[in-house]
Amino acid sequence: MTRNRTMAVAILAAIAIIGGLAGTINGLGGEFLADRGQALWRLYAMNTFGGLVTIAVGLIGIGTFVRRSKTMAAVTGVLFLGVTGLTLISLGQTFNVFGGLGSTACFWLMLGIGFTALGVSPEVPEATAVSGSRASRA
Amino acid sequence: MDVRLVSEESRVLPTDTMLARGAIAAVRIVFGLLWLTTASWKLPPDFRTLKNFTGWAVEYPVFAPYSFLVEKVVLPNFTIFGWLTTITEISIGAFLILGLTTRLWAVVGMAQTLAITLSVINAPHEWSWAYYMMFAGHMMIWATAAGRTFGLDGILRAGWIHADGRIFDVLRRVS
Repeated sequence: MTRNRTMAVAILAAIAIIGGLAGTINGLGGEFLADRGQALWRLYAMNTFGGLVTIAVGLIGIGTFVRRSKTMAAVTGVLFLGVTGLTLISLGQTFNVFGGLGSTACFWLMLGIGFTALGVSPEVPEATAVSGSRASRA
Repeated sequence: MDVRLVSEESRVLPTDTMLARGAIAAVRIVFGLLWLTTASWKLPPDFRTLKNFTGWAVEYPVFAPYSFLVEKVVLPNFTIFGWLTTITEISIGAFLILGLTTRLWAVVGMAQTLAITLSVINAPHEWSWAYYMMFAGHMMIWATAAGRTFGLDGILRAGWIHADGRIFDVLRRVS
């Protein structure tokens, strides 16, 4: 992985872990993430299980950063996409396994697409990226 | 100094400073968060709140053909429309926050803003300029290709430029 791509993986993993921690605290009774009020941090909601799953998948993201593995990035992305799918299916149902809302699905979709794109997109060596002969197509 | 050079220099956009790039990225992320938060209250199976807002297009008409479309097509098939709206808005939020295929999703954001505008701006207590600003904001995200600064477009585009295949041509154009 190129340096920029590795950095992007690290940032996404950090967002996942921080977001998961916030969700876990919220699920334990903090309730600062609930979809009420106007404060900017009232973005999404999830239950403790949803928070723990987010942290766990985020830790795989950290592993991706450490190992610089595109395959692991793609796997992390697919896991987050699975969490997104389950949330969408259970939206508005009495059984909502991760306690998510549409906004939470958006958060997980962002992580899923981000990791997957970083895992599957082709890359060029950084030196080539600067002076590549086809750069004029940009 | 050559008048032509001075004229050209006066039109150069100061967008290639760290501060300007940060501001462009911040606008993109804030608009992404806007779509993320609005997804929180769109709940299946009946999408009751969304249906109420959409019904304003008929109750407080803005543009007669749009009101007709909502009344005859959208409201009678609201479950499909509710899912379509929810998935579209969730996707706009996710892609704008990431800065991935940003120009495409900025255009989708403009289209969605237009649909909302045509539904609600004549309703009581709505501030129409909020929607005009929302449209203009997405236009700026499109114009500045905001995903190329602190976004995934800026990281992945080099690979798309060098790769062969129609899919990479499309990705390069919409990023």
